[in-house]
Amino acid sequence: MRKQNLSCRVYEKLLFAYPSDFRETFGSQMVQVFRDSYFEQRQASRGSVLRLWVLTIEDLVCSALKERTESENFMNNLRRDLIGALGCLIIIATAFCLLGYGRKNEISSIITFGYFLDALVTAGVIGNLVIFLLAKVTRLDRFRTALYTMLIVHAVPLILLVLVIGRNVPNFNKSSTIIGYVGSFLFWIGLHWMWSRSSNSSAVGVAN
Amino acid sequence: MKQSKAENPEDSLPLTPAMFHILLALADRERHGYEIMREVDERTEGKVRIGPGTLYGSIKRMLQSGWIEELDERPSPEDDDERRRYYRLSDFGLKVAVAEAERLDRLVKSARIKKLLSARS
Repeated sequence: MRKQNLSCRVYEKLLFAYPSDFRETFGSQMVQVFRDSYFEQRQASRGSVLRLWVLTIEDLVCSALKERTESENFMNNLRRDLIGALGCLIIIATAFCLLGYGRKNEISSIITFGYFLDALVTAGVIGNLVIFLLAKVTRLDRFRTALYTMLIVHAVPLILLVLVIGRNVPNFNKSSTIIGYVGSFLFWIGLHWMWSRSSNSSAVGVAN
Repeated sequence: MKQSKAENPEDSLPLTPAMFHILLALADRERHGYEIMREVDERTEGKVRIGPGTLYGSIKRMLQSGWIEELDERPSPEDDDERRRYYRLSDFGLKVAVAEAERLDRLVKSARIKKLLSARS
């Protein structure tokens, strides 16, 4: 058996561009075909390998797009992704505007929630982006992915804030920052929990 | 695989160039994916190159339509890589390929009548 070289390994990873059912049925055969082509072109010249890669990437982009758009779940997933992304954007934008308005006009009721809104925006942008990307390229459990990602994006800045700024800035409100980040974590994780529950129930509905 | 055969081969026309090339490659004997690619490449003198994505996307659709079949047995087990999967043309696939060839033939005849071919030669 031929040793799997870097090009073949890269191509194998690129197959994630295709829908999972297509990948499961034809993925190993596609890698086999690419491997055969690669070794043939490598014997010819280095330029041939480059040409093979150009053709392969072109083929991959066109065919993956076609398979994705023809996939039965494509429109459902697209609709769900758009609703999810739009929901997150509205929440983050509202929190951001509210925070800016409250600080500008010194509205105490909004400033009280300032730490929470700050964490909601910062961790929300980074966390949701990471969760979305992981959901697209991996087959990990969605809720667990959200849980661990949100835990990391909330814990890391919180620890840094408490350890670095908390020690150097005398007016730093440590307890409010901690409450703000914990509140933001609970808010986002609650939202993802509800989202995963609704996904599961709609999947059961489709199966029935 | 889901079978969704059209009753009349003409209903499936026109075929995509990739599909017709794959059917042509399988017209004389069963082949695995890489053999199909090589056959198309050699027959067209390198002018048509089908990548793995287009190849297996077309194979998927042709399996679903019942134009081709996957072989259960290996053509020559002694000198063959058992990970490969072989495909052959079904009876209905042959009818579709013939119908497409006849359609293209009529098209070429029309071009000849309009002196497009003689003008070029």
